[in-house]
Amino acid sequence: MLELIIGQIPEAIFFSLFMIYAKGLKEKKVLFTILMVVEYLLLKYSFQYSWLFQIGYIVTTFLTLKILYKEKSQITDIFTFAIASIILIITSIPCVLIFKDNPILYSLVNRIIIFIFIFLFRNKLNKIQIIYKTIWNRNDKNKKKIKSTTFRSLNIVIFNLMFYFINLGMIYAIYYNSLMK
Amino acid sequence: MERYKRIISTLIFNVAETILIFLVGRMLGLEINNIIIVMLCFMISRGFFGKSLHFKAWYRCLVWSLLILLSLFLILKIDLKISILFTIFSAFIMTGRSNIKDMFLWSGKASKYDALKDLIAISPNNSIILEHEEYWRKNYPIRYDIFKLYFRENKTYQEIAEIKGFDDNTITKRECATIYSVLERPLNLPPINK
Repeated sequence: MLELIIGQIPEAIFFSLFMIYAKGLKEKKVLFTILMVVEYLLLKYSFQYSWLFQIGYIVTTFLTLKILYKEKSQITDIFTFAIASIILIITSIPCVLIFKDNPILYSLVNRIIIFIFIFLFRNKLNKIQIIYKTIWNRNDKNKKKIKSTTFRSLNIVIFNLMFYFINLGMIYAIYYNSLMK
Repeated sequence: MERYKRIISTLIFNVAETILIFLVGRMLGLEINNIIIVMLCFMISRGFFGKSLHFKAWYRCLVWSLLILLSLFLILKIDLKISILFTIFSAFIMTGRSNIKDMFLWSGKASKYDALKDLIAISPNNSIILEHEEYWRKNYPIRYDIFKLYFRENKTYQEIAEIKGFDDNTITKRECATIYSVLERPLNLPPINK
């Protein structure tokens, strides 16, 4: 129950808030957050410590956005979601190292950090969406800092590597849990 | 003759690139069959989706193809099924089919003033914008407020009406249209389709 309250629900809320600010969503924010939490919990309990959870959550987030916001949802949202996951991973690493013997304290500190992050950068996150909108499509007429093909390749490589490292983390978590028992 | 030369050099490059990628897979200790499955899957998927995106410089093509396939090989170390899934997704992204406007249910336009909003977000201290903003602040306070709320802070018409105490959105809509038309030429913005 404690894991649910200080671990899983705040994590799902973090993802939904990140998407709301990054995409500049103005409507149905509460409904979107509720759906994100429900989907997270359903998937978490269906596919614990499995890659199916990661894939499932990315797909359901994309579908939720598509259904609720139609016009505002696009393929690049998958990469925006990946950025949220990377932030979560980066903030988790020092917390794991510092509080490795106390998972409750780890969860608590990590969730505080990610919500401080959201609070501090809430007005800046929308730039992610704008960068994607500007660079994603190929347009040779306009000079850009990074070309569309390079930008897409970079996104794919980061996305794939992120998934690989999440899986490494899961293997570590399974190993750690078995040690604790 | 020139054409044949080009075809042969392209062919040599593609074969060399494929061999290099294959060797990287072998270096990671992957099975030959699995490496071939992933590589073929990537090539076939790109062909299937169509409108493939290509790099203009050969070295960029080599480096990025190598990195993309390397990342897919790392996933292959986890599971073959999942790596096939990621390979198809990666191939889809590397085609024109994943362009923003081409996506299902996406018209590519959320607001007719998107071009100005995007420009302000990317370049908030643009001298032309700052100059106009300063002028409106001194001479047209309502226009200045609406500019700040709608274009800088991304507020909706409804939110602006609540903040400013307007009965409806008429003033906001009118001011937004004026702001866009004033800045359209100096900022080289696309015209609005009415």
